[in-house]
Amino acid sequence: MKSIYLFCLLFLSSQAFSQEYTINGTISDAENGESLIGASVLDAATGSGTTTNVYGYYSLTLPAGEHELIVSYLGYTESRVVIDLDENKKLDIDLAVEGQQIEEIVVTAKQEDRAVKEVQMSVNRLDIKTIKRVPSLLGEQDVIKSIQLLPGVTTIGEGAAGFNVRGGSIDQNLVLLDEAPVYNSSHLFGFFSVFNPDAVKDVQLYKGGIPARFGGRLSSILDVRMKEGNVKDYEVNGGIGTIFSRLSVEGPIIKDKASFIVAGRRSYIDLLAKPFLSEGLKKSVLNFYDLTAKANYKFDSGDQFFVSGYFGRDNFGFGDAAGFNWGNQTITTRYNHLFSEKIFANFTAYYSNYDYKINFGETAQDVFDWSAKIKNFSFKPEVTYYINPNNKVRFGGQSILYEFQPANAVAVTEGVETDISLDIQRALESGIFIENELNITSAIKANYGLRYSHFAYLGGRNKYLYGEAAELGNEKPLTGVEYVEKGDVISSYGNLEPRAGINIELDNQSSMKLSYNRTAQYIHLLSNTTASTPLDIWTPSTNNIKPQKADQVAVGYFRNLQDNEYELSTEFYYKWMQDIVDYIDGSDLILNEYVEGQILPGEGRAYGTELLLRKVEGRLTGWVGYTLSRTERKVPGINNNEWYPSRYDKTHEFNITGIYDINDRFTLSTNFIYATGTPGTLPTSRYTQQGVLVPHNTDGRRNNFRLPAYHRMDVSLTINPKKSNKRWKGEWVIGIYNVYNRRNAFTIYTKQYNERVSPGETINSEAIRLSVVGNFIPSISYNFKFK
Amino acid sequence: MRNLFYFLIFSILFVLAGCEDAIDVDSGFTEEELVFDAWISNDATHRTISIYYTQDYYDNSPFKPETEALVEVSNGSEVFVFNHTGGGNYSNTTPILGTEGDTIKLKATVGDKTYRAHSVIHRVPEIDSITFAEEENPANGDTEILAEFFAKDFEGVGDTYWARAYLNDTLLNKPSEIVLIYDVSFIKGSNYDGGYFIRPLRLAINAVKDDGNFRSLEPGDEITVELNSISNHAYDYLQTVQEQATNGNNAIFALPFNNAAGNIKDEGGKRAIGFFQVSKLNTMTAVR
Repeated sequence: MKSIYLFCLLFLSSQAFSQEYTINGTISDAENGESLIGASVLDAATGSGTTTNVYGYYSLTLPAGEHELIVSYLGYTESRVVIDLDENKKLDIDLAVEGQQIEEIVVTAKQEDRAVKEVQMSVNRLDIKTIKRVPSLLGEQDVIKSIQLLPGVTTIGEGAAGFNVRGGSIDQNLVLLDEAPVYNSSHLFGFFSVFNPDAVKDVQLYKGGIPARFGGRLSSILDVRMKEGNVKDYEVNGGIGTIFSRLSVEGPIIKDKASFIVAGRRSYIDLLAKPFLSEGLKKSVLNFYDLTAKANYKFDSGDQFFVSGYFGRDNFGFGDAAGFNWGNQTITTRYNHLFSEKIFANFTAYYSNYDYKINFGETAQDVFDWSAKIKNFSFKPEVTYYINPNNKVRFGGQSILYEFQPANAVAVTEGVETDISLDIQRALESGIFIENELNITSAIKANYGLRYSHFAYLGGRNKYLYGEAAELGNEKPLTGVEYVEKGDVISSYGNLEPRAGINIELDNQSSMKLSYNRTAQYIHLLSNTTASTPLDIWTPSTNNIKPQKADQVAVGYFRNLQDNEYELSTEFYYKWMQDIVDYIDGSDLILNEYVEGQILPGEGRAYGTELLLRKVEGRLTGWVGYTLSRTERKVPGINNNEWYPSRYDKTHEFNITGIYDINDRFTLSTNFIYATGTPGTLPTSRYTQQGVLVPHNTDGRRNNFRLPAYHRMDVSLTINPKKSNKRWKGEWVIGIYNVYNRRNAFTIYTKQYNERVSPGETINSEAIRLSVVGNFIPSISYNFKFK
Repeated sequence: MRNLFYFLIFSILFVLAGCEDAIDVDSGFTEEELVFDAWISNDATHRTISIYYTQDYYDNSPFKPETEALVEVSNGSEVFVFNHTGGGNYSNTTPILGTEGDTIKLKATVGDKTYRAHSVIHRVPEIDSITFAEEENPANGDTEILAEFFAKDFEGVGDTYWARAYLNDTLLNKPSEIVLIYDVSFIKGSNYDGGYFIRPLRLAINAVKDDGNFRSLEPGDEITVELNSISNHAYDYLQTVQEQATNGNNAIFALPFNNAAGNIKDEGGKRAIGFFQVSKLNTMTAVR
């Protein structure tokens, strides 16, 4: 009761005492007009203020009178504006990059203290300038690989798609590109990510304390925002790398009002290799490409319209004999509308699709054509009400209509065609939320909210009924099939998802944060291989597959040192997961009508501590991170129904990333990673069946050994030419991945030697360590910018 | 078979930088367990049941045989004793153990324990023909002469077969040479049924070389295909055996480790290692 009273008091307080006015507008980069996300706007006298939202918009309500506003953003010159508030005012502010003479080097007199002051915890942020300086495999700057260098984010190994956040599986991450979900974030399995660094503006990863406005996945939200495009001048960026060549063009459509960006990349190993291939292989295909584009228009009223899209594809082919390709497509349209100076609204509509196609067969007599898809349409309104500097309310909702096409398949054998397609699955996921960001006192801030999500698995197809499995961990027997009419619902689920975060400022440099979130996930990636393959399909929750749920609590200590030159944070988290998806032994997850009978629900738990020390200014920037963690699963039917470490469990993970600006021509970057080896399963014993050696594990334990520790160092040197032309700026990046040539194990497996033996004869066996990267990998690339 | 896609693609990738090294691993083996290797046919083609004990996975010496077992197979009306012929192998030479549709029971007494299993003799189609043709290998552009066998699956979902091939009298039994057929294809759960086996299965009777490609047939090479009917459980079992034995080929897309769960149990219901299967088979031989 007391807290409600307090809440009401705060809600009304500022209105009650004096006349107030609102200043609103956008904060942008002075050079190219790109809006700045998370820039701070402060009233110098009182220290009360706000930060810009993802569209660069701010709204600040202050008492009437003269105010000095301090506008700042990491890497930009602070701007001070004196404003006489005698009415509501619109104020757009442009900030200039600091140290303009040294390209892309960040020197700031006084850093902001966002990490300490904001309520949000468990968030990994990397700006694109840092991502572009982190050494990378074959010199390809990579958003997802860079994120993996921060605590709490891991991968099973090189070449594996996706990433694991605080013990979550890869499908528990909601990867958003301009708000549209990207279902497969990798090119070439998992070697490169689909985001073109030339088109990316901002990357944030929420690992915990996930605000109520996000929903749909258990473990994390990777929010990737694309650049809007230079609204002042035309600009061409590009690069020639070892794998990709890139080109992007951006510029104003109408100066200061509308702009566009179009960015493309294509791999060209196949083009280079073609002349050296034998005649029989000339028809082979191996390439991947992506195209990212965006345009926006700013109305005089302050409203803004955006349209953005992504289209990417990976292609493999062996002449007419076999072909395989996959890719994502997304289109997002957004409209920002100001209902008043204090009420900012955004309406997003998107379409997203991931699909793959496979074909086999040289002649029409024997063919196998197969494709699968996950398509979705969504509408998502969101309103932010800036009540006063101490109180902000957000509310909104989302509806997603899914269409899963698990298999469209036609097989022809000896000229006889058979359609073996699986029925389309449709589902509707909806959510509504309300979120309140409240400064309870000057030292205590909170962001709490509630999300209600609902999922309906729709009719117009068969519903499958299963009985109890004969033994725990076996396939469930099918007991019935019923047709459910279109318009009816096969099964539905609803979940209340409370979210809360609190920040208690201990002093000006340090704070303590606490958070709790409950998350629910209604769609699941069916994947039982070590690394996910592009063939893995998504499935909705059905009458047989329950939604996954997770609860996470986190507590953290945040401290800035030496005038915010260093940021130190340490966090502890504990996460419980229910109804996570696992599979029976020997499951068939693709092209299987009865796949629901092969799914085993389980529970999971993940806990750990993450330590991060970042140096954000000076010639040397970078971070040291350490994670101590455990992630385990318990699935009836697996590992004798006992807890076992999940395949991506790493006890220790240590990371150093350093970027050193030697002078205005040379930048040296390096990173070093050390991680405990991931667990795997090896046989204890052997036997044979009809002359084939069979590996056997006496106690049936899953993940009964650990791979050797993983460690690796990479370096890269960026060289700017002596005298850069005013319009043409080029740079060379020379790098070495895995400098000291370590063969890190991706896995260890066992096999019998290749010889053929008669039943009864002895068979030789061996253990093999598989390293995806077996050597050091040098690279060189050239990047340019033309204005 | 179903991992063919990953294998094909990863093999290209792997050329980039990957590498494999043989290493020493401690298996942690402590407990020997009884194993049955009991894949027989209703006719006299396959009539050996082997009983022995598991050993350390990396121990390349012969298995310790069980020589004192009492092994009986019955078809409901007759009992056939399988006699020890040495090395843990037990045999019987009766021409016919049973006919299609019969349930054949195994009873084996080892020490004070009795193990039981049963197997139904399922239908198996005739092999229509074996042909030879030139094929271009899509992965390396080489031209190969390969054998292809034609047989038609019965109408009705759920027929499972195991094709064993012999090249010049050598049984092709590398793990990658196990040919498992679920109705027409290798895709269980797809309801793909009736008609000639799909082409990848028809070609799978060729010998696989160490590099993973098929061995091209020389003039005079003799190919024999023996098509065995097996139960759905036996299909799952052999699929697990094959997947686990060849899992390394899947590289980063390896399947989880799991023990193949057989059909032989002791009186307490505890599963023994290995499988008992009585197949009906049809055979055809062709010379290039």
